[in-house]
Amino acid sequence: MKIRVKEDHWNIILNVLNRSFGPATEHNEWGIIGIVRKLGDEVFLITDVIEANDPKDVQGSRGNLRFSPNYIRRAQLKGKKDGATGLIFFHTHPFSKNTVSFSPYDDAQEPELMKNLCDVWPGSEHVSVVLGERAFKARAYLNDGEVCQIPKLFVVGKHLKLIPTNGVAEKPAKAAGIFDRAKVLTGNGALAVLGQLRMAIIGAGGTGSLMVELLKRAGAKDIVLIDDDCVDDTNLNRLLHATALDAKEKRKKVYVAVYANHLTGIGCVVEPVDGSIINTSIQERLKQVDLLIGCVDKETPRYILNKIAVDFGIPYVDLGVEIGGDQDLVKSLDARVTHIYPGGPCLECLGLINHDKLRLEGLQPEERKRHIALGYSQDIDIKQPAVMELNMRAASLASLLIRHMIQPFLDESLKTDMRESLLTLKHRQLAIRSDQKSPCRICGAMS
Amino acid sequence: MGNDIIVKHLEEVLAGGYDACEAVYNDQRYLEVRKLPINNPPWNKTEVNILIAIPNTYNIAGLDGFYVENGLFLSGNQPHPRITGMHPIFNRQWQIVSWHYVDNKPWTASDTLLTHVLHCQQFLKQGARSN
Repeated sequence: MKIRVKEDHWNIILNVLNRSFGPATEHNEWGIIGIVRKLGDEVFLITDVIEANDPKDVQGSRGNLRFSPNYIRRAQLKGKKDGATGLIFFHTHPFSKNTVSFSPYDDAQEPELMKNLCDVWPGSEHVSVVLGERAFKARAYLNDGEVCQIPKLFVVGKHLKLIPTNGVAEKPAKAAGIFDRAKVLTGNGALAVLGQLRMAIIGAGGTGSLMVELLKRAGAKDIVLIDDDCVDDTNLNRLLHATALDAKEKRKKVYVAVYANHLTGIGCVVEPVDGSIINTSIQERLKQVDLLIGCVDKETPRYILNKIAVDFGIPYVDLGVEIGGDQDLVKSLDARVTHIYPGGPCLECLGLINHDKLRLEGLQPEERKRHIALGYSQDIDIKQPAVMELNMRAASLASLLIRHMIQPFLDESLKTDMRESLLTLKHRQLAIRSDQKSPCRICGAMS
Repeated sequence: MGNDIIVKHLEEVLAGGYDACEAVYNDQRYLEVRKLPINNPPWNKTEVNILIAIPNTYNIAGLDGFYVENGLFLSGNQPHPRITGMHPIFNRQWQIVSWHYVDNKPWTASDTLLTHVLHCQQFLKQGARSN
Protein backbone atom coordinates (compact mmCIF):
# COMPACT_ATOMS: atom_id res chain seq x y z
CA MET A 1 0.00 0.00 0.00
CA LYS A 2 1.27 3.49 -0.81
CA ILE A 3 0.35 7.15 -1.03
CA ARG A 4 0.79 9.13 -4.25
CA VAL A 5 0.83 12.92 -4.22
CA LYS A 6 1.44 15.48 -6.94
CA GLU A 7 4.36 17.79 -6.28
CA ASP A 8 2.27 20.98 -6.08
CA HIS A 9 0.02 19.42 -3.44
CA TRP A 10 3.06 18.16 -1.54
CA ASN A 11 4.60 21.63 -1.51
CA ILE A 12 1.43 23.06 0.04
CA ILE A 13 1.48 20.34 2.70
CA LEU A 14 5.16 20.85 3.52
CA ASN A 15 4.80 24.65 3.62
CA VAL A 16 2.36 24.20 6.49
CA LEU A 17 4.02 21.33 8.31
CA ASN A 18 7.59 22.64 8.13
CA ARG A 19 6.58 25.42 10.53
CA SER A 20 7.09 22.81 13.21
CA PHE A 21 10.72 22.26 12.26
CA GLY A 22 12.07 25.66 11.33
CA PRO A 23 14.27 27.88 13.50
CA ALA A 24 11.14 29.38 15.07
CA THR A 25 11.14 29.41 18.84
CA GLU A 26 7.72 27.78 19.13
CA HIS A 27 7.81 24.15 18.16
CA ASN A 28 4.07 23.63 17.98
CA GLU A 29 2.40 20.79 16.21
CA TRP A 30 0.86 21.64 12.85
CA GLY A 31 -1.63 19.82 10.70
CA ILE A 32 -3.40 19.92 7.37
CA ILE A 33 -6.13 17.85 5.73
CA GLY A 34 -6.20 16.46 2.20
CA ILE A 35 -8.64 14.43 0.14
CA VAL A 36 -7.78 10.93 -1.08
CA ARG A 37 -9.07 8.62 -3.73
CA LYS A 38 -8.21 4.95 -3.46
CA LEU A 39 -7.04 3.25 -6.66
CA GLY A 40 -7.49 -0.49 -6.46
CA ASP A 41 -6.24 -2.00 -3.22
CA GLU A 42 -2.84 -0.38 -3.38
CA VAL A 43 -2.80 3.38 -3.80
CA PHE A 44 -4.20 6.37 -1.97
CA LEU A 45 -3.97 9.30 -4.40
CA ILE A 46 -4.15 12.76 -2.81
CA THR A 47 -6.54 14.61 -5.11
CA ASP A 48 -6.78 17.88 -3.22
CA VAL A 49 -5.44 19.72 -0.20
CA ILE A 50 -7.79 21.77 1.96
CA GLU A 51 -5.94 24.54 3.69
CA ALA A 52 -7.05 25.84 7.06
CA ASN A 53 -8.61 29.27 6.71
CA ASP A 54 -9.14 30.07 10.38
CA PRO A 55 -6.59 29.93 13.23
CA LYS A 56 -9.06 27.75 15.11
CA ASP A 57 -9.04 25.14 12.32
CA VAL A 58 -5.81 23.59 13.60
CA GLN A 59 -4.90 24.05 17.22
CA GLY A 60 -1.74 22.44 18.47
CA SER A 61 0.29 22.43 21.60
CA ARG A 62 2.87 19.89 22.67
CA GLY A 63 1.49 16.41 22.19
CA ASN A 64 -2.02 17.52 21.46
CA LEU A 65 -3.27 18.59 18.04
CA ARG A 66 -6.89 19.23 17.22
CA PHE A 67 -8.59 19.77 13.86
CA SER A 68 -11.76 21.82 14.30
CA PRO A 69 -15.09 20.16 13.40
CA ASN A 70 -15.67 22.96 10.87
CA TYR A 71 -12.40 22.25 9.10
CA ILE A 72 -13.05 18.50 8.97
CA ARG A 73 -16.59 19.10 7.74
CA ARG A 74 -15.37 21.42 4.99
CA ALA A 75 -12.89 18.79 3.81
CA GLN A 76 -15.45 16.01 4.08
CA LEU A 77 -18.05 17.90 2.03
CA LYS A 78 -15.48 18.63 -0.67
CA GLY A 79 -14.36 15.00 -0.66
CA LYS A 80 -17.91 13.69 -0.99
CA LYS A 81 -18.62 16.18 -3.78
CA ASP A 82 -15.51 15.03 -5.64
CA GLY A 83 -16.44 11.37 -5.30
CA ALA A 84 -13.33 10.75 -3.18
CA THR A 85 -12.66 7.78 -0.89
CA GLY A 86 -11.85 9.75 2.24
CA LEU A 87 -9.57 12.23 3.95
CA ILE A 88 -5.88 12.25 4.78
CA PHE A 89 -4.77 13.94 7.99
CA PHE A 90 -1.18 15.18 8.31
CA HIS A 91 0.27 16.31 11.60
CA THR A 92 3.71 16.84 13.05
CA HIS A 93 5.63 15.71 16.06
CA PRO A 94 8.08 18.60 16.32
CA PHE A 95 10.57 16.89 18.60
CA SER A 96 10.86 13.70 16.58
CA LYS A 97 13.90 13.71 14.34
CA ASN A 98 15.16 10.47 12.76
CA THR A 99 12.29 8.33 13.95
CA VAL A 100 8.64 9.10 14.46
CA SER A 101 5.60 7.16 15.57
CA PHE A 102 1.96 7.77 16.39
CA SER A 103 1.63 8.97 20.00
CA PRO A 104 -0.66 7.41 22.62
CA TYR A 105 -2.83 10.50 22.14
CA ASP A 106 -3.04 9.76 18.37
CA ASP A 107 -3.82 6.12 19.10
CA ALA A 108 -6.61 7.14 21.45
CA GLN A 109 -8.16 9.94 19.37
CA GLU A 110 -7.85 8.80 15.77
CA PRO A 111 -10.08 5.70 15.85
CA GLU A 112 -12.93 7.78 17.22
CA LEU A 113 -12.43 10.50 14.60
CA MET A 114 -12.39 7.88 11.83
CA LYS A 115 -15.48 6.16 13.20
CA ASN A 116 -17.35 9.47 13.29
CA LEU A 117 -16.30 10.16 9.71
CA CYS A 118 -17.49 6.75 8.57
CA ASP A 119 -20.84 7.35 10.29
CA VAL A 120 -21.47 10.47 8.21
CA TRP A 121 -19.65 9.16 5.14
CA PRO A 122 -20.45 5.44 4.88
CA GLY A 123 -17.85 3.31 3.13
CA SER A 124 -15.18 5.98 3.38
CA GLU A 125 -11.53 5.14 4.11
CA HIS A 126 -9.06 7.55 5.66
CA VAL A 127 -5.33 8.00 6.12
CA SER A 128 -3.24 9.53 8.86
CA VAL A 129 0.37 10.65 8.45
CA VAL A 130 2.67 11.89 11.19
CA LEU A 131 5.83 13.79 10.35
CA GLY A 132 8.99 14.11 12.37
CA GLU A 133 11.83 16.32 11.21
CA ARG A 134 13.33 13.63 8.96
CA ALA A 135 10.95 10.69 9.32
CA PHE A 136 7.35 9.96 8.32
CA LYS A 137 4.83 7.35 9.37
CA ALA A 138 1.48 6.58 7.74
CA ARG A 139 -1.48 4.32 8.36
CA ALA A 140 -4.85 3.74 6.69
CA TYR A 141 -8.24 3.17 8.31
CA LEU A 142 -10.03 0.83 5.93
CA ASN A 143 -13.78 0.44 5.68
CA ASP A 144 -13.63 -3.15 6.99
CA GLY A 145 -12.28 -1.80 10.30
CA GLU A 146 -8.69 -2.83 9.61
CA VAL A 147 -5.84 -0.40 10.26
CA CYS A 148 -2.96 -0.84 7.80
CA GLN A 149 0.54 0.58 7.85
CA ILE A 150 1.48 2.41 4.65
CA PRO A 151 5.22 2.08 4.05
CA LYS A 152 5.81 4.51 1.17
CA LEU A 153 4.75 7.80 -0.30
CA PHE A 154 5.58 8.93 -3.84
CA VAL A 155 5.83 12.61 -4.76
CA VAL A 156 5.27 13.01 -8.49
CA GLY A 157 6.42 16.04 -10.45
CA LYS A 158 9.22 16.60 -12.90
CA HIS A 159 11.13 14.24 -10.65
CA LEU A 160 9.92 11.20 -8.80
CA LYS A 161 10.63 11.09 -5.10
CA LEU A 162 10.05 8.16 -2.76
CA ILE A 163 9.55 8.96 0.91
CA PRO A 164 9.54 5.98 3.28
CA THR A 165 6.60 6.27 5.68
CA ASN A 166 7.67 3.52 8.06
CA GLY A 167 8.69 5.92 10.82
CA VAL A 168 12.43 5.80 10.16
CA ALA A 169 14.65 8.20 8.24
CA GLU A 170 16.00 5.48 6.04
CA LYS A 171 19.61 5.22 4.94
CA PRO A 172 19.74 3.38 1.62
CA ALA A 173 21.30 -0.04 1.63
CA LYS A 174 24.54 -0.49 -0.25
CA ALA A 175 23.89 -1.47 -3.83
CA ALA A 176 24.77 -4.91 -5.13
CA GLY A 177 28.10 -5.25 -6.90
CA ILE A 178 26.57 -5.51 -10.37
CA PHE A 179 25.62 -1.84 -10.14
CA ASP A 180 29.07 -0.59 -9.04
CA ARG A 181 29.97 0.98 -12.35
CA ALA A 182 26.58 2.70 -12.79
CA LYS A 183 26.52 4.50 -9.46
CA VAL A 184 27.69 7.78 -10.95
CA LEU A 185 24.33 7.91 -12.74
CA THR A 186 22.19 6.11 -10.17
CA GLY A 187 23.63 6.11 -6.68
CA ASN A 188 22.62 3.93 -3.74
CA GLY A 189 19.59 6.02 -2.79
CA ALA A 190 18.27 6.34 -6.32
CA LEU A 191 18.93 2.67 -6.97
CA ALA A 192 16.86 1.78 -3.93
CA VAL A 193 14.03 3.94 -5.31
CA LEU A 194 14.28 2.34 -8.75
CA GLY A 195 14.10 -1.06 -7.10
CA GLN A 196 10.90 -0.14 -5.27
CA LEU A 197 9.03 1.27 -8.25
CA ARG A 198 6.36 -0.82 -9.91
CA MET A 199 6.72 0.06 -13.57
CA ALA A 200 4.42 -0.85 -16.44
CA ILE A 201 5.84 -1.17 -19.92
CA ILE A 202 3.03 -1.14 -22.44
CA GLY A 203 4.13 -2.81 -25.66
CA ALA A 204 6.67 -5.63 -25.77
CA GLY A 205 7.79 -4.98 -29.34
CA GLY A 206 10.82 -3.21 -30.78
CA THR A 207 11.13 -0.48 -28.12
CA GLY A 208 9.35 -2.29 -25.27
CA SER A 209 11.72 -5.28 -25.34
CA LEU A 210 14.66 -2.87 -25.17
CA MET A 211 13.13 -0.97 -22.26
CA VAL A 212 12.81 -4.18 -20.24
CA GLU A 213 16.48 -4.90 -20.87
CA LEU A 214 17.70 -1.40 -20.01
CA LEU A 215 15.59 -0.95 -16.91
CA LYS A 216 16.36 -4.31 -15.34
CA ARG A 217 20.08 -3.58 -15.82
CA ALA A 218 19.56 -0.12 -14.33
CA GLY A 219 18.21 -1.67 -11.13
CA ALA A 220 14.45 -2.05 -11.70
CA LYS A 221 13.00 -4.98 -9.75
CA ASP A 222 9.30 -4.95 -10.58
CA ILE A 223 8.09 -4.60 -14.16
CA VAL A 224 4.64 -5.34 -15.55
CA LEU A 225 4.88 -6.00 -19.29
CA ILE A 226 1.68 -5.70 -21.32
CA ASP A 227 1.11 -6.83 -24.90
CA ASP A 228 -1.27 -9.19 -26.67
CA ASP A 229 0.78 -9.64 -29.82
CA CYS A 230 2.72 -12.69 -31.07
CA VAL A 231 6.18 -12.79 -32.58
CA ASP A 232 6.26 -13.08 -36.36
CA ASP A 233 9.06 -13.17 -38.93
CA THR A 234 8.83 -9.46 -39.65
CA ASN A 235 9.64 -8.67 -35.99
CA LEU A 236 12.96 -10.47 -36.01
CA ASN A 237 14.92 -7.47 -37.35
CA ARG A 238 14.29 -5.59 -34.10
CA LEU A 239 12.66 -7.63 -31.35
CA LEU A 240 15.28 -8.27 -28.68
CA HIS A 241 15.71 -11.95 -27.70
CA ALA A 242 13.10 -13.15 -30.24
CA THR A 243 14.15 -16.18 -32.29
CA ALA A 244 13.02 -17.80 -35.51
CA LEU A 245 11.46 -20.55 -33.38
CA ASP A 246 9.43 -17.94 -31.43
CA ALA A 247 8.13 -16.64 -34.75
CA LYS A 248 7.40 -20.13 -36.08
CA GLU A 249 5.47 -21.07 -32.96
CA LYS A 250 3.87 -17.61 -32.74
CA ARG A 251 4.89 -17.16 -29.12
CA LYS A 252 3.55 -14.16 -27.30
CA LYS A 253 6.03 -11.30 -27.11
CA VAL A 254 5.55 -10.88 -23.36
CA TYR A 255 6.62 -14.47 -22.69
CA VAL A 256 9.74 -14.10 -24.85
CA ALA A 257 10.77 -11.11 -22.72
CA VAL A 258 9.94 -12.89 -19.47
CA TYR A 259 12.00 -15.93 -20.43
CA ALA A 260 14.98 -13.74 -21.40
CA ASN A 261 14.70 -11.90 -18.10
CA HIS A 262 14.67 -15.19 -16.22
CA LEU A 263 17.93 -16.20 -17.93
CA THR A 264 19.55 -12.88 -16.97
CA GLY A 265 19.08 -13.73 -13.30
CA ILE A 266 19.69 -10.33 -11.73
CA GLY A 267 16.65 -10.24 -9.51
CA CYS A 268 14.17 -8.32 -11.61
CA VAL A 269 10.64 -9.71 -11.76
CA VAL A 270 8.85 -9.19 -15.07
CA GLU A 271 5.16 -9.98 -14.85
CA PRO A 272 3.67 -10.81 -18.26
CA VAL A 273 0.19 -9.53 -19.05
CA ASP A 274 -1.10 -11.05 -22.28
CA GLY A 275 -3.75 -8.46 -23.04
CA SER A 276 -4.57 -5.13 -24.57
CA ILE A 277 -4.61 -1.71 -22.96
CA ILE A 278 -8.10 -1.33 -24.46
CA ASN A 279 -9.21 -3.82 -21.80
CA THR A 280 -10.63 -1.82 -18.86
CA SER A 281 -9.39 -4.31 -16.25
CA ILE A 282 -5.83 -3.71 -17.49
CA GLN A 283 -6.45 0.03 -17.32
CA GLU A 284 -7.56 -0.40 -13.69
CA ARG A 285 -4.31 -2.18 -12.89
CA LEU A 286 -2.27 0.58 -14.51
CA LYS A 287 -3.70 3.16 -12.10
CA GLN A 288 -1.77 1.44 -9.33
CA VAL A 289 1.70 1.46 -10.90
CA ASP A 290 4.32 4.12 -10.16
CA LEU A 291 5.60 4.71 -13.68
CA LEU A 292 4.05 4.18 -17.11
CA ILE A 293 6.28 3.53 -20.11
CA GLY A 294 4.48 3.62 -23.45
CA CYS A 295 6.13 1.65 -26.25
CA VAL A 296 3.14 1.59 -28.58
CA ASP A 297 2.71 2.56 -32.21
CA LYS A 298 -1.00 3.33 -32.24
CA GLU A 299 -2.94 6.40 -31.19
CA THR A 300 -5.61 4.68 -29.08
CA PRO A 301 -3.25 3.14 -26.49
CA ARG A 302 -1.22 6.34 -26.46
CA TYR A 303 -4.40 8.31 -25.79
CA ILE A 304 -5.46 5.93 -23.00
CA LEU A 305 -2.03 6.02 -21.32
CA ASN A 306 -1.92 9.81 -21.48
CA LYS A 307 -5.39 9.99 -19.90
CA ILE A 308 -4.51 7.57 -17.09
CA ALA A 309 -1.28 9.49 -16.40
CA VAL A 310 -3.08 12.84 -16.23
CA ASP A 311 -6.09 11.63 -14.24
CA PHE A 312 -4.13 9.65 -11.66
CA GLY A 313 -0.90 11.63 -11.34
CA ILE A 314 1.37 8.90 -12.72
CA PRO A 315 4.58 9.84 -14.52
CA TYR A 316 4.43 8.62 -18.11
CA VAL A 317 7.32 8.21 -20.51
CA ASP A 318 6.14 7.86 -24.11
CA LEU A 319 8.49 6.56 -26.80
CA GLY A 320 8.09 7.05 -30.50
CA VAL A 321 10.19 6.39 -33.57
CA GLU A 322 9.53 7.39 -37.14
CA ILE A 323 11.15 6.77 -40.48
CA GLY A 324 9.60 8.97 -43.15
CA GLY A 325 10.16 8.74 -46.91
CA ASP A 326 10.09 6.07 -49.56
CA GLN A 327 12.45 3.37 -50.83
CA ASP A 328 14.60 5.92 -52.65
CA LEU A 329 14.85 8.72 -50.13
CA VAL A 330 14.75 8.89 -46.35
CA LYS A 331 13.14 12.18 -45.35
CA SER A 332 13.04 11.83 -41.59
CA LEU A 333 14.59 9.52 -39.03
CA ASP A 334 13.39 10.53 -35.59
CA ALA A 335 13.56 9.04 -32.11
CA ARG A 336 11.27 10.74 -29.59
CA VAL A 337 10.82 10.49 -25.85
CA THR A 338 8.16 12.55 -24.09
CA HIS A 339 7.78 12.84 -20.34
CA ILE A 340 4.28 13.52 -19.03
CA TYR A 341 4.03 14.55 -15.38
CA PRO A 342 1.60 16.49 -13.17
CA GLY A 343 1.93 20.20 -13.88
CA GLY A 344 3.45 19.68 -17.33
CA PRO A 345 1.81 19.54 -20.76
CA CYS A 346 0.18 16.29 -21.82
CA LEU A 347 0.45 14.52 -25.19
CA GLU A 348 -2.68 16.31 -26.38
CA CYS A 349 -1.18 19.74 -25.50
CA LEU A 350 1.94 18.77 -27.40
CA GLY A 351 -0.08 17.79 -30.47
CA LEU A 352 1.11 14.18 -30.20
CA ILE A 353 -2.36 12.64 -30.42
CA ASN A 354 -3.44 12.38 -34.04
CA HIS A 355 -7.24 12.49 -33.91
CA ASP A 356 -7.73 11.34 -37.47
CA LYS A 357 -5.72 8.18 -36.72
CA LEU A 358 -7.62 7.79 -33.46
CA ARG A 359 -10.90 7.84 -35.41
CA LEU A 360 -9.69 5.37 -38.03
CA GLU A 361 -8.35 2.98 -35.38
CA GLY A 362 -11.82 3.00 -33.81
CA LEU A 363 -13.53 1.85 -37.00
CA GLN A 364 -13.85 -1.78 -38.06
CA PRO A 365 -11.56 -2.78 -40.99
CA GLU A 366 -14.25 -2.66 -43.71
CA GLU A 367 -15.51 0.71 -42.57
CA ARG A 368 -11.96 2.02 -42.19
CA LYS A 369 -11.12 1.03 -45.79
CA ARG A 370 -14.09 2.97 -47.11
CA HIS A 371 -13.09 6.09 -45.18
CA ILE A 372 -9.47 5.87 -46.31
CA ALA A 373 -10.62 5.37 -49.91
CA LEU A 374 -12.24 8.80 -49.80
CA GLY A 375 -8.70 10.16 -49.85
CA TYR A 376 -8.86 12.48 -46.85
CA SER A 377 -7.05 10.25 -44.35
CA GLN A 378 -3.67 8.58 -44.27
CA ASP A 379 -3.80 4.80 -44.43
CA ILE A 380 -2.99 3.50 -40.96
CA ASP A 381 -2.78 -0.11 -42.10
CA ILE A 382 0.48 0.46 -43.97
CA LYS A 383 3.32 -1.11 -41.98
CA GLN A 384 5.64 1.67 -40.89
CA PRO A 385 9.36 1.05 -41.35
CA ALA A 386 11.15 0.18 -38.11
CA VAL A 387 14.76 -0.64 -37.34
CA MET A 388 16.57 -1.56 -34.17
CA GLU A 389 19.11 1.29 -34.37
CA LEU A 390 16.37 3.89 -34.10
CA ASN A 391 14.48 1.97 -31.41
CA MET A 392 17.69 1.82 -29.41
CA ARG A 393 18.13 5.60 -29.56
CA ALA A 394 14.63 6.12 -28.19
CA ALA A 395 14.94 3.42 -25.53
CA SER A 396 18.35 4.71 -24.43
CA LEU A 397 17.00 8.27 -24.11
CA ALA A 398 13.98 7.01 -22.16
CA SER A 399 16.06 4.95 -19.76
CA LEU A 400 18.42 7.87 -19.09
CA LEU A 401 15.41 10.11 -18.55
CA ILE A 402 14.02 7.69 -15.95
CA ARG A 403 17.37 7.58 -14.14
CA HIS A 404 17.44 11.39 -14.20
CA MET A 405 13.87 11.59 -12.84
CA ILE A 406 15.07 9.76 -9.75
CA GLN A 407 18.58 11.16 -9.41
CA PRO A 408 19.13 14.32 -11.50
CA PHE A 409 22.40 14.40 -13.41
CA LEU A 410 21.66 16.42 -16.54
CA ASP A 411 23.23 19.88 -16.75
CA GLU A 412 19.93 21.39 -17.79
CA SER A 413 16.53 20.76 -16.30
CA LEU A 414 14.68 17.79 -17.64
CA LYS A 415 12.99 18.38 -20.99
CA THR A 416 9.38 17.39 -21.47
CA ASP A 417 9.98 16.27 -25.00
CA MET A 418 13.22 15.11 -26.52
CA ARG A 419 13.38 14.45 -30.22
CA GLU A 420 16.53 13.36 -31.94
CA SER A 421 16.88 13.48 -35.70
CA LEU A 422 19.29 10.85 -36.91
CA LEU A 423 19.52 12.70 -40.22
CA THR A 424 21.00 15.82 -38.64
CA LEU A 425 22.11 14.35 -35.29
CA LYS A 426 20.37 17.27 -33.65
CA HIS A 427 17.95 17.36 -30.76
CA ARG A 428 14.89 19.52 -30.72
CA GLN A 429 11.81 19.96 -28.58
CA LEU A 430 8.17 20.11 -29.44
CA ALA A 431 6.41 23.35 -28.63
CA ILE A 432 3.09 23.24 -26.85
CA ARG A 433 0.30 23.65 -29.39
CA SER A 434 -0.48 27.30 -29.93
CA ASP A 435 -3.85 26.69 -31.59
CA GLN A 436 -5.57 25.72 -28.33
CA LYS A 437 -8.13 28.39 -27.60
CA SER A 438 -9.89 26.41 -24.91
CA PRO A 439 -8.47 24.32 -22.07
CA CYS A 440 -6.94 21.00 -23.09
CA ARG A 441 -9.72 18.41 -23.06
CA ILE A 442 -7.48 15.93 -21.26
CA CYS A 443 -5.35 17.84 -18.74
CA GLY A 444 -7.29 21.11 -18.63
CA ALA A 445 -4.20 23.27 -19.23
CA MET A 446 -4.38 26.38 -21.38
CA SER A 447 -1.66 26.74 -23.97
CA MET B 1 -15.06 7.27 -24.76
CA GLY B 2 -17.35 4.25 -24.53
CA ASN B 3 -20.92 3.08 -24.49
CA ASP B 4 -22.25 5.54 -21.89
CA ILE B 5 -21.34 8.59 -23.91
CA ILE B 6 -22.92 7.15 -27.06
CA VAL B 7 -26.15 6.41 -25.20
CA LYS B 8 -26.17 9.94 -23.75
CA HIS B 9 -25.52 11.54 -27.13
CA LEU B 10 -28.15 9.37 -28.82
CA GLU B 11 -30.67 10.72 -26.32
CA GLU B 12 -29.75 14.22 -27.43
CA VAL B 13 -30.40 13.28 -31.06
CA LEU B 14 -33.83 11.89 -30.11
CA ALA B 15 -34.58 14.98 -28.03
CA GLY B 16 -33.71 17.03 -31.12
CA GLY B 17 -36.77 15.49 -32.81
CA TYR B 18 -34.97 13.01 -35.07
CA ASP B 19 -36.15 9.48 -35.75
CA ALA B 20 -32.87 7.80 -34.87
CA CYS B 21 -31.46 4.56 -33.52
CA GLU B 22 -28.09 2.99 -32.88
CA ALA B 23 -27.28 -0.40 -34.41
CA VAL B 24 -24.31 -2.70 -34.93
CA TYR B 25 -23.38 -4.41 -38.21
CA ASN B 26 -20.26 -6.61 -38.45
CA ASP B 27 -19.08 -5.22 -35.10
CA GLN B 28 -19.29 -1.65 -36.42
CA ARG B 29 -21.60 0.76 -34.61
CA TYR B 30 -23.78 3.08 -36.63
CA LEU B 31 -26.30 5.80 -35.96
CA GLU B 32 -29.21 5.63 -38.38
CA VAL B 33 -31.36 8.72 -38.82
CA ARG B 34 -34.54 7.96 -40.71
CA LYS B 35 -36.71 10.16 -42.89
CA LEU B 36 -34.49 13.19 -42.71
CA PRO B 37 -36.34 15.97 -44.60
CA ILE B 38 -34.54 17.29 -47.69
CA ASN B 39 -35.46 19.71 -50.43
CA ASN B 40 -37.01 18.47 -53.66
CA PRO B 41 -35.61 19.99 -55.85
CA PRO B 42 -32.61 19.85 -55.98
CA TRP B 43 -32.92 16.27 -54.71
CA ASN B 44 -35.20 13.69 -56.27
CA LYS B 45 -36.79 12.92 -52.85
CA THR B 46 -38.29 14.81 -49.93
CA GLU B 47 -36.66 12.66 -47.25
CA VAL B 48 -33.71 10.32 -46.90
CA ASN B 49 -32.28 7.79 -44.45
CA ILE B 50 -28.69 8.42 -43.38
CA LEU B 51 -26.13 6.29 -41.58
CA ILE B 52 -23.17 7.52 -39.52
CA ALA B 53 -20.28 5.23 -38.57
CA ILE B 54 -19.32 5.62 -34.89
CA PRO B 55 -15.73 4.65 -34.05
CA ASN B 56 -15.25 2.85 -30.74
CA THR B 57 -12.88 5.70 -29.87
CA TYR B 58 -15.82 8.16 -29.99
CA ASN B 59 -16.06 10.89 -28.63
CA ILE B 60 -12.38 11.49 -28.23
CA ALA B 61 -12.11 10.67 -31.87
CA GLY B 62 -14.68 12.56 -33.91
CA LEU B 63 -17.05 11.53 -36.67
CA ASP B 64 -16.56 12.09 -40.37
CA GLY B 65 -18.70 11.63 -43.46
CA PHE B 66 -21.94 9.64 -43.63
CA TYR B 67 -23.97 7.32 -45.85
CA VAL B 68 -27.25 7.93 -47.65
CA GLU B 69 -29.56 5.08 -48.55
CA ASN B 70 -29.33 4.16 -52.21
CA GLY B 71 -31.53 6.09 -54.58
CA LEU B 72 -30.68 9.70 -53.78
CA PHE B 73 -30.00 11.72 -56.92
CA LEU B 74 -30.07 15.29 -57.96
CA SER B 75 -33.07 16.29 -60.06
CA GLY B 76 -32.92 14.66 -63.47
CA ASN B 77 -31.45 11.53 -61.85
CA GLN B 78 -27.94 13.00 -61.92
CA PRO B 79 -25.60 11.43 -59.33
CA HIS B 80 -23.97 13.85 -56.89
CA PRO B 81 -20.16 13.81 -57.32
CA ARG B 82 -19.61 13.44 -53.58
CA ILE B 83 -21.93 10.43 -53.25
CA THR B 84 -20.18 7.26 -54.38
CA GLY B 85 -19.92 3.50 -53.98
CA MET B 86 -22.54 0.96 -53.03
CA HIS B 87 -22.20 -0.80 -49.69
CA PRO B 88 -24.50 -3.42 -48.20
CA ILE B 89 -25.10 -2.59 -44.54
CA PHE B 90 -28.08 -4.07 -42.62
CA ASN B 91 -29.09 -5.82 -45.89
CA ARG B 92 -29.74 -2.48 -47.51
CA GLN B 93 -27.62 -0.56 -50.02
CA TRP B 94 -25.87 2.62 -48.94
CA GLN B 95 -23.69 5.18 -50.66
CA ILE B 96 -20.92 6.99 -48.85
CA VAL B 97 -20.89 10.79 -48.81
CA SER B 98 -17.49 12.45 -48.84
CA TRP B 99 -18.39 15.30 -46.49
CA HIS B 100 -15.67 16.37 -44.09
CA TYR B 101 -14.78 18.85 -41.42
CA VAL B 102 -12.43 21.50 -42.71
CA ASP B 103 -9.29 22.91 -41.11
CA ASN B 104 -10.93 26.17 -40.08
CA LYS B 105 -13.94 24.34 -38.64
CA PRO B 106 -12.66 21.05 -37.28
CA TRP B 107 -14.39 18.51 -35.06
CA THR B 108 -14.08 19.87 -31.52
CA ALA B 109 -14.48 18.51 -28.00
CA SER B 110 -17.99 19.99 -27.82
CA ASP B 111 -19.23 18.18 -30.94
CA THR B 112 -21.62 15.26 -30.57
CA LEU B 113 -23.78 12.88 -32.61
CA LEU B 114 -26.38 15.64 -32.78
CA THR B 115 -23.98 18.29 -34.12
CA HIS B 116 -22.74 15.76 -36.67
CA VAL B 117 -26.31 15.09 -37.85
CA LEU B 118 -26.67 18.87 -38.29
CA HIS B 119 -23.35 18.89 -40.17
CA CYS B 120 -24.67 16.17 -42.50
CA GLN B 121 -27.89 18.09 -43.00
CA GLN B 122 -25.81 21.05 -44.11
CA PHE B 123 -24.61 18.99 -47.08
CA LEU B 124 -28.12 17.86 -47.91
CA LYS B 125 -29.38 21.44 -47.73
CA GLN B 126 -26.60 22.64 -49.98
CA GLY B 127 -27.74 20.12 -52.56
CA ALA B 128 -25.81 20.43 -55.77
CA ARG B 129 -23.11 22.68 -54.37
CA SER B 130 -19.90 20.92 -53.45
CA ASN B 131 -17.84 21.56 -50.31
